[in-house]
Amino acid sequence: MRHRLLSFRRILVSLTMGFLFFAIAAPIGIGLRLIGWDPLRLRFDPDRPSYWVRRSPNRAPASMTKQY
Amino acid sequence: MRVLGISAFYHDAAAALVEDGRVVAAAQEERFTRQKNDSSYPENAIGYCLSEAGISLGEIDRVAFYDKPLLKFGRLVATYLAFAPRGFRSFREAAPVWLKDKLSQKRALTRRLRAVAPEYDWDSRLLFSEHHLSHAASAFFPSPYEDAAILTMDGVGEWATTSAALGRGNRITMLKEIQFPHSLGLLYSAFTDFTGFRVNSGEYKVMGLAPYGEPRFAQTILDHLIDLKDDGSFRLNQEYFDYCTGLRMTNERFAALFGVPARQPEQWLEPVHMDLAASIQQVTEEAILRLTRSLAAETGARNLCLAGGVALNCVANGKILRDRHFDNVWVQPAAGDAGGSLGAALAAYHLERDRPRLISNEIDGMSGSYLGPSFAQNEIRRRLAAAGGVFAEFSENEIIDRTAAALAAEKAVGWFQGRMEFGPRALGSRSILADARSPSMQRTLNLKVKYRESFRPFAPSVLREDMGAWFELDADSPYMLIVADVVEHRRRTMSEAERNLFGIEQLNVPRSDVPAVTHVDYSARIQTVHRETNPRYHALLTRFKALTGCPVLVNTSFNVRGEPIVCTPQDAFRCFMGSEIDVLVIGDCFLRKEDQDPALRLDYRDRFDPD
Repeated sequence: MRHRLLSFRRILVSLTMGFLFFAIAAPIGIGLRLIGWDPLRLRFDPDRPSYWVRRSPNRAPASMTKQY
Repeated sequence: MRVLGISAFYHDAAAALVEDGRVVAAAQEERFTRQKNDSSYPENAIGYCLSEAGISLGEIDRVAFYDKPLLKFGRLVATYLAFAPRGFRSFREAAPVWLKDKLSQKRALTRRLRAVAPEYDWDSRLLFSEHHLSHAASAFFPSPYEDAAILTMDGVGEWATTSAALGRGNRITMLKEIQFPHSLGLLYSAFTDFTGFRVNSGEYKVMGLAPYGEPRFAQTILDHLIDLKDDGSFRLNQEYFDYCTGLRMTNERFAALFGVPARQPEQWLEPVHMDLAASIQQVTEEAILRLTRSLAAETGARNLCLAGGVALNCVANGKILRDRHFDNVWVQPAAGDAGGSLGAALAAYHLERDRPRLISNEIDGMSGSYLGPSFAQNEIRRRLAAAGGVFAEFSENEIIDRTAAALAAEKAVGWFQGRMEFGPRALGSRSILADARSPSMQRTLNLKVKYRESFRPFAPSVLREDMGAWFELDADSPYMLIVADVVEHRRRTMSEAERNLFGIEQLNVPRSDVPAVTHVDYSARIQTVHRETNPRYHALLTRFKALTGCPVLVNTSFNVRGEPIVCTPQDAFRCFMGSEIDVLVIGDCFLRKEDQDPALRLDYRDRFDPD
């Protein structure tokens, strides 16, 4: 009985995750990419001298209180 | 002011305690739970840190966590959006965990703290440092430098995988970074996985395998996998990797590029795997040298501090030093994520609370990395007796004499003294020691004591004052994080037949006066031993030198394959009884294997999962 409940739960989680991923994340992702969004900077760029990303000047120390 | 640093939930959980800027205690959770790379909330390590300082949790002013969970979550979301509809399998595994636990990490942490000390407001005492700021703080604040350039490199934190910063006094200024998925750590891990070793622990093996191979794939890697700029910055071509979307590191295109399938852990190592190891090691070194050269030019700094898992690549560290773009290089001994706990605590103390730094030009702030638990002689005696150990007790002088004599007689000695090391290396507190001059010692230790592959070389401990006579290095290396060659006149020239031996066969040919610690390319991973930080170990090496003329010993961690390094006298006794260690020295207690009760012998060989 317990085993059946567990596998039922697993199916439910998979279905929810499938919905989140294919019905929500995928269309948003594809849409954003179509308009040129490239958050991971996936393309090589032979013309650039450097791939370093400059940091904005240090955030205030108070930011250590935040999780972001 | 007291700050407790915590790293947990990803790789190596650990805790560290900083009191008025001084590192009082630090330890990794795996040592207490005996689960290798334990990533759970470091309850035991925290308990140890508090007891070392003699305080209760309520007396902690701030708790600092080593990364920012919500930034990391943002990176995961961006990664899924960048690849969807690819990546469902990874999403299916990761998303429920995040939604259930990881998104509410602040609540989870305060709940843990409140469970121990309910009367305090932990919400206002809990701080979060950025992952690479934690690494940078752990690299710079304990270093002996007033100012330095700081380079941190690892797999990935939140977004950053490589960061450059400047440290001055009690300030750190983050300058620039390279972001996920472009990562030297993940690139090296991809080759670790592809050559059949375990990610997050097998990287050392790839580094140890590299000298057997030819770097014939280095150009292929540079042409196809990584776009490496002159200043060392880089991007990786994600068409060859699977870590963004799947549950593996590399994909079929990666295998096709090198013309071989991924090696399974139980398969034989072949020349092609050695060549792959040599190639990725060479490309990594090239990237790191370009990074350090451009950082030296940009900042004008004379000192360099390193941390992050890639800083454990001691072969590359040796090359940075010899490259001479910096006068001094200091590497945080706990360079991996465990050290993030210490970095987070130091960042909170110096950066958030703006407290001054204590700097000594003579010695760094890590106390030799001897920051873990120690045991008083009466406690050792009690614990050994309870475990059934048969031992004799001697004065310090007598202990040193007997141990040195046992080593000179080619015994494998378990050496357990003082406070446990913080970081992945044993540095003469929880070590197995042996005579480096013995041509058969490498094989014996590998097969009979450590139960592991015999291609991996051992590391030497050497008296700091004698180093120049044995190794081509002119700097301190107290944490075994710098590789240099054995001096020319102590090397043995190979005969034609010996040179033609294949792969691991080569290692069994003595190639110097200290063959047990000399790799096939004559290199050695050196630990310099200093009287100031470990007087007893220093005295042992001095006595061994008086007996034999050699100030060098084999020093390998006190554990068997897959086991965390021993923490308590009982752990040490178990490992002693489960392996072919001949002599065990704990504090002033001296144990010989032949005196022990045979009924207490353990079958230790298959007790731990291979690492």
